[in-house]
Amino acid sequence: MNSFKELSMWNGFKKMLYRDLLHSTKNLSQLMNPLLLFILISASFPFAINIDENQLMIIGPGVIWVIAILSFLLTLNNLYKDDMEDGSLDYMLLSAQPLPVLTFAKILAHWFLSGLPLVILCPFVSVFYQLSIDVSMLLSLTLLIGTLALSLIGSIGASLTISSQNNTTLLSLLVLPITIPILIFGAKTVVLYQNGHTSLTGLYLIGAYCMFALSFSPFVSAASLRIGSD
Amino acid sequence: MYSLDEASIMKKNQLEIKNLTLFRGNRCLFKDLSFAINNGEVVIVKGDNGSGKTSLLRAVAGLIEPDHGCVYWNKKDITNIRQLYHQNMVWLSHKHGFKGQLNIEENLYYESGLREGFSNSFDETFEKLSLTSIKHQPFNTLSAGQKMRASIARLILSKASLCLLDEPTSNLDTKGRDFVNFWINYHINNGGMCILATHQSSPIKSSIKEIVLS
Amino acid sequence: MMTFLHKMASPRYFYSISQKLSPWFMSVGMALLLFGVINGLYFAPPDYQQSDAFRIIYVHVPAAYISMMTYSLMAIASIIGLIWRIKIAFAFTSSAASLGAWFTFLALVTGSIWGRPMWGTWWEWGDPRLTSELLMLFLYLGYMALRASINDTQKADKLSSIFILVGAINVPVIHYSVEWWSSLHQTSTLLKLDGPSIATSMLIPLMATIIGTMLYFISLLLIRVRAEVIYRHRRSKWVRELILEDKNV
Repeated sequence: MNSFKELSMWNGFKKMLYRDLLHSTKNLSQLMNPLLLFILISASFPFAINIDENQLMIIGPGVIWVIAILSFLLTLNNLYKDDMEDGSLDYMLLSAQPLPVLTFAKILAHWFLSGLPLVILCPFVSVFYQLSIDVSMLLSLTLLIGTLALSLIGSIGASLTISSQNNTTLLSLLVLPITIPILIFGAKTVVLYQNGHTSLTGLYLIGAYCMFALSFSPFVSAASLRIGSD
Repeated sequence: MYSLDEASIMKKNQLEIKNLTLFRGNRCLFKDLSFAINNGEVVIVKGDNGSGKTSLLRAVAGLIEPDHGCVYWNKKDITNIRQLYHQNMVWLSHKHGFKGQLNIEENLYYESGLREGFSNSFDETFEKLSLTSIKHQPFNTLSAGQKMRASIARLILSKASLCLLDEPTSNLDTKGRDFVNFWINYHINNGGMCILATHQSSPIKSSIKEIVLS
Repeated sequence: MMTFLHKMASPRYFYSISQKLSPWFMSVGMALLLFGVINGLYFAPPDYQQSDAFRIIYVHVPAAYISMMTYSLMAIASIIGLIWRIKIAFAFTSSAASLGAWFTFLALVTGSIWGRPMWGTWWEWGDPRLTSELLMLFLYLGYMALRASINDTQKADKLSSIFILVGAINVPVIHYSVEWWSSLHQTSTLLKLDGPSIATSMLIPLMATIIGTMLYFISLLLIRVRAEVIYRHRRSKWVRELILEDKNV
């Protein structure tokens, strides 16, 4: 047909989201490994450092944040690489849907599968660091928004490195510097709360960072995917 | 299968390639390549492995930007009407592009979101392609022939006019090859267009143009 | 001016022009640097607060300015390369990367040396300017790593340019970080609306070193871009003619 009725972007978005979520549920072990790593490393940290409870409470938020980022980075590598390997990236590029719609769906699916579990596990892991319940809840909240921002920025890194060799370390090198502000604000908010400040400006700043990333990340990822598949 | 009135392939379409040139590194794969296809025509691209057949097909599809030249769909440059062009085009390669852990039905359900007008008559199509018995199996457990049939299902359900096939019969047995050729002929006879890249001889009888890359 | 820039887009023209320009930049730059360093180290009066330790400003500030300037240059060149498809812009970006990285490193190290007597610490994690400058070093390194990992030159050019643009937000952050957050650094001294707030006898060597380093940087950049241009066009006719006709290329 030479005329184009309205192409429903929601249709494409929801089906892409559905596919990625469904695909991961059939592949649960790949999903579980980074989470198990998160728990394992968080647990090993206190063993390695012989410090008392109060000091554990102080370093807890920062340490948990760092380990969360690191285990998150492990999952980013497969965001587009899997699709490139079985050829479905070509179909994404050749679809009538605008590519940013599809990349956004993938990013969101990735956040559901990698970020949200971290948020859920966080209160349990906080126990290792003797954090009180309200502190660990705040930590989870910062992780909630922070992991979304990480997914967004990580998707840019993943799309830039699809045609590179030596992916994982390169991806971490590219993504980590840009996500340092999230780490700073995330950990700082919780530490300040622990010290009695009740205003959550850090949280707002993470939210702002996340919204900013949201405004360009799907588009930049789409552009990089097109160039990378050249 | 689908109502021939509403299928896009019945509308008069034309794909035109003008002076297409592509370099990969320092090698010139093809230079000043020009041809046109109309409804019911097939173009076969022949050449050895590495001669640039896949690159030509990818350039026609719009995945690769050529160094020179243009691809026109109904007289319009495809870089300007990308979405419309992709709506009318379907790509088939030996990589299939289906997720291994999902079954055919789930994969095609996802593909229905990628374009408009994707047919809903999955079951009917599966019948015609003898896929009904395996439609609930994960894709990576299927044989090469079954996988190709699933790809053909995508071609039929998408109702696209232009079909680009990249080495569709490369790892199929004779029965599989005949199957693919049958459906390509079916598509052509219903007004579709085809560009086929292969290093095997293809017994497709229709108005054929051949391009040989060396 | 526009025709000049337009002609620069041609690698061949750029090559011949830069051959003539580069020695000028280098000589004027070195002269200014020499003047600035001697003036700054000997003739400028000691600061009333910091006495002689402040003299490292003559190395630290130029290095920091150049590090930010290089990144901005790379960002602009990336935009030119991506949007207007002018290939030589990518040669500029890739050549400027390691220069920028070294200047950033220099700025960080000299800053750290200066910080020790002044603030009592080699490094201060809470300081936003320090953190964002360190971030910029990582961005440079990330750019170089990304370039190196992609085999196809065209793809590498475009993808790494996208990366530079994503990180470009960091440059205004570094510049305004002293105003937005409380920092150990002092606020802007030079780029203020009512004139610089630094004594003239200290200002002159500072300006001399800043401009001198800038010119020095440009001449180095031109040398590197020329090498890059020759390498990229090594198979074209004009390069082969150049090599054959003139042995000292």
